[in-house]
Amino acid sequence: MPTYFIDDGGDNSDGSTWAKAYTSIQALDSAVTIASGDTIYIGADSNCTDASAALTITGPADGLPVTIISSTVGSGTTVSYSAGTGDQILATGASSDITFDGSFALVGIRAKAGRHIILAADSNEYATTQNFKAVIGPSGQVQLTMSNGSSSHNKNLTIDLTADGTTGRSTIPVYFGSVGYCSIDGLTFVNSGYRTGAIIAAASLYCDVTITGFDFSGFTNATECEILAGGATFGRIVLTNGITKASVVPYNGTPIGGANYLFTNYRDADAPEALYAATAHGTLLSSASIYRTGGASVEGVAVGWLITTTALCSEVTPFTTPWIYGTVASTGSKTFDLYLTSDLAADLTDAECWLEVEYLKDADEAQWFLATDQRATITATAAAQTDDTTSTWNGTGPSFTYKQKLSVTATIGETGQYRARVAVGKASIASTSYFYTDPKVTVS
Amino acid sequence: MSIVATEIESIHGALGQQRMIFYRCQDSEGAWHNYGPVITTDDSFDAEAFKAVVAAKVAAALAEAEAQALMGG
Repeated sequence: MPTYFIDDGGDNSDGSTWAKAYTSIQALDSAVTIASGDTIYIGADSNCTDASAALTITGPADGLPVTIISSTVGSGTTVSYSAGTGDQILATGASSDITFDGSFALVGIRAKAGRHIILAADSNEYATTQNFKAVIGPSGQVQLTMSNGSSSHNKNLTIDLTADGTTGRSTIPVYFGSVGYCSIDGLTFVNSGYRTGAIIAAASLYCDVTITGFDFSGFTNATECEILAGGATFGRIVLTNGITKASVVPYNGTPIGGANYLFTNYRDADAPEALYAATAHGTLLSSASIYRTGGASVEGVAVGWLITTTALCSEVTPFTTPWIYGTVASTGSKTFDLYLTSDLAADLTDAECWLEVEYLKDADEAQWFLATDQRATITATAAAQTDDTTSTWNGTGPSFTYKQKLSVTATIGETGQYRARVAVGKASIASTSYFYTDPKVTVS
Repeated sequence: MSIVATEIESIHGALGQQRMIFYRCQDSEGAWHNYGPVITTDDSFDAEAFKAVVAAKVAAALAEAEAQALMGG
């Protein structure tokens, strides 16, 4: 597994030392076949001397990745990690992309493209980046997981949009292209104020994306900080713990079958109660201004969950909220209650809305069992769920016409964790129905 | 297809609080298209004025969908 050196101060001979370093990755790639397990060091302040147009760096399709590390230039083969400041990997020209075609690990590298930077281009390839600075062109994108089975894991990814200048650009800067897995722990932008559309888009294929620790607050000219672009994406997209503008649109579209979106703590300031969950069957949005007195709160912030459903929702294809976890400290018969309100045309029935509780039924057994207050069978006559005559709901907008309680009784055989969720089987509940649940489960 | 009407479907919350504003647009064939909600804690956010932005965005999305359909996408 050879080691190569790249630096603009090298003599471009054989890349075996800093002195003999190739002066660009293009020169290295022309001279040798980069193979699985190879390590390439690039001088941290090195500027690529080969101003090629589109650049495709070919790496291994499987096995160990090629590792490319940014390093302070030393004597001989001495290396010391230092984040890149130069144009270490460069492709110039208005539509010049940099494509990492194979499995690569990029550590501290700064790459600058005329348009897109593409990672994990083909099936089964994977890209790992740490402290990677992707400097993309005006109307450029960082494209990840671009083919079936590709994956990409990124820590502290910076997308530099300086090339946008001060001109509005509608291109979505982050794009997930295919059936792959991608994680980004730490996502920040430079000069993001001139992108005018959504921040993330995904293809109409199943992708599994998790982004944590993001900063979207610089998208000041975007249309109210649309996070996820509308479109036929049936992937799983999770965003956790990041900041946005004060006005934000989580998703501009209607999720289709297979879509599963979950955003938590995404606001212009810490908002641990902030939750957005959506599938093809419905959407849940947390509200810090509409809630039940004595109900759920997250770090002191009272919260209610607004639920809307689509035409695809039914009793057999319900929309379900995320699970709510709790513990029971003693065995025996327990009743789990959860409250809701709506301005629908009538009370919700046990065929339209119910509580599902999973609990430990048997002593010394780990298996969870499901208990529910859904009607006993699909053909049983539906009955209205229990009226709630005691709760007080707060907030502007709803009339709180109907107040009800979902209630499940189960015999606990083993103390420990339980979880509960609300299932909604009524189609086309619009935002005008002000259907809120209180995500506090009361166990008595 | 063009947008012939844009309206606020519902507002959840009041000024000084978190607001969620749901929009919808009607196209020239009579179909309704939802947009949002915009979730905001910014009291300067003008929900009425934003209807023009919503109309433009929904129109652009419809145009793109039509183009995709023409290309067989």
